[in-house]
Amino acid sequence: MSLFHENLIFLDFQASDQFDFLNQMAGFLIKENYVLPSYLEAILERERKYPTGLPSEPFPVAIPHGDPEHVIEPCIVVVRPHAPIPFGEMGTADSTILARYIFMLVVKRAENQIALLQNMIDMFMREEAMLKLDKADTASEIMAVLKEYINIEKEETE
Amino acid sequence: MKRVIVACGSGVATSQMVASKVGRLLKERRVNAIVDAVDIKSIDTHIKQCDAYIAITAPTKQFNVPVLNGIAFLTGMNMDKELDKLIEILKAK
Repeated sequence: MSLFHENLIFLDFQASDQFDFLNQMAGFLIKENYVLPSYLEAILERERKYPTGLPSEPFPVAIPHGDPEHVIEPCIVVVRPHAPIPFGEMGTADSTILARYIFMLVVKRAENQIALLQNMIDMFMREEAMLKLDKADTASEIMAVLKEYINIEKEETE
Repeated sequence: MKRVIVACGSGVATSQMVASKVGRLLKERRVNAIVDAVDIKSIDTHIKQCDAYIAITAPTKQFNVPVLNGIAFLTGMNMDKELDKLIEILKAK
């Protein structure tokens, strides 16, 4: 089963800041039973202590993820916000990136997802792939780009 | 056997990705070492049993083992330099 789903792709998402974004998203994931109610507190705390913004080019991407014990149904939520959202830069205490994309990793500890996650990070660093992603206007077009570069189908059979 | 630990905030996703990548890179360069993803909460225990620590989070204190930049391995930016540094550490001891 793939971690990506068309109904978990949000384009032109409205959020005033990172707190508002994580609040809305966690609320959605809790309501849809992807995570436990404890997830909201966990992801806020985690992002504050260990920020997840990547200074990738051409577009900075944030990959917020919480501790695995709050996850019920693993998935990856893909969000292109209406306006870039500030996230702390991973591995730093005080740098900030402006995330053009946010990939929320709702995952448990599992060896078989590593290749998929690595392909995903590699895609963030490929200008051609990210420009294609940026041209996509609908969830199904986004899905097609993800399939092309992350090789979702292959991962499913492994 | 030399041991390298990789830690991120949750012990999933990023640390597992980096651990698997570093393991593959070391194998390609024929350097024998165990690479483990660990939870940052248990870093004090793990740090006593390793030869190098690859950090994905901003270090909050000093450690007695060499610390490497995990973001480089995650994104591939400046990765070769970090890999050379790691190999030097593992070969030196």
